[in-house]
Amino acid sequence: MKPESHMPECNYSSQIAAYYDRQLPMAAQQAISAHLPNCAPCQAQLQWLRQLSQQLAGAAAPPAPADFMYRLHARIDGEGERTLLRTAYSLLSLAACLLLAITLWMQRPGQAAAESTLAWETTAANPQSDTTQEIALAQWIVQDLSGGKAHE
Amino acid sequence: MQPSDAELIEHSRQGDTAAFHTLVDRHAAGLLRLAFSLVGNAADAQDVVQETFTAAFRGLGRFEGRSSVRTWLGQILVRQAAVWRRRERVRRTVALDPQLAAPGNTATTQVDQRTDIMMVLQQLSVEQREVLVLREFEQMSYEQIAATLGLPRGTVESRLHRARAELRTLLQDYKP
Repeated sequence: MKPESHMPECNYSSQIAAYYDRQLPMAAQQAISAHLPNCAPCQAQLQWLRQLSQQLAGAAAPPAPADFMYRLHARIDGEGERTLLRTAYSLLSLAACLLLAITLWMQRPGQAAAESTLAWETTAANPQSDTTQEIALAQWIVQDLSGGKAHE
Repeated sequence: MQPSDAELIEHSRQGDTAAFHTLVDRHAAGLLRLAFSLVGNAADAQDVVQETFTAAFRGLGRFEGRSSVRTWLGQILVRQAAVWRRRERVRRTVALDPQLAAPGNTATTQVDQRTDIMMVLQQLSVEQREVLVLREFEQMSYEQIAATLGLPRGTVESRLHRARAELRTLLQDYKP
């Protein structure tokens, strides 16, 4: 299976492996395809590469124990459960963070003061507001809108 | 009709664990061969395959479909084998057990003839073995091997050339 060592080297010999692996650009692949029928050293190199691949293709790992596939699947199932748990913990953490953020926002400084300064709240909550003046003003507006006769 | 690997990945991403189990059934044997060729020990090869599928399951979201699923799994396995080698170096350094380092004292000594070529492969350097098995077993392109191993393409080609030449020498005495 060894290429004949006494054969003269060819200019293409350094590219035969890449040609065999189909890793050359199209034009180079075609050039070597055309060259091969006329070059014994390149043919021998190519033949050796094919034989090597055939030998390696027959290589195998020692047979795995009977429970290997079972253990493999069990590991994936376990990983799936861990993924679910991780997702659940993440969601819980997110929910807790959101709750904390909302609570802090509700209790931020100045919030109560800002709400207490609303005018309508002050007026509505003030039992001592003077309504006499408001009633007089309302009557004045009604009279004005009705043509000002009452005012005259 | 059987779903393609890419379809199985998509189903797995959507939470269909059974789809991932189908992928495991489909690729376990091939990956076991690749793992054995890289670590040279049956029990460790099985562990590397297990770690490979676990890492793939965790990394389902990172599969971009730019290469085949098999190539993607092969790339993960090469990384897991590298992790195994680092651990093994530490373990041997710590244990200093002369039997562990003795050549031939692996599970491969009692396997059938088809694994003999695997033993020949173990005589190559790790660097040469990696490029050779990724090319010959996984049919990766030079570019894919370069990306998998983080090497320039030219380095892949030169290592592959040297690996084949070295194997040629080693196989001169090999009788299948």
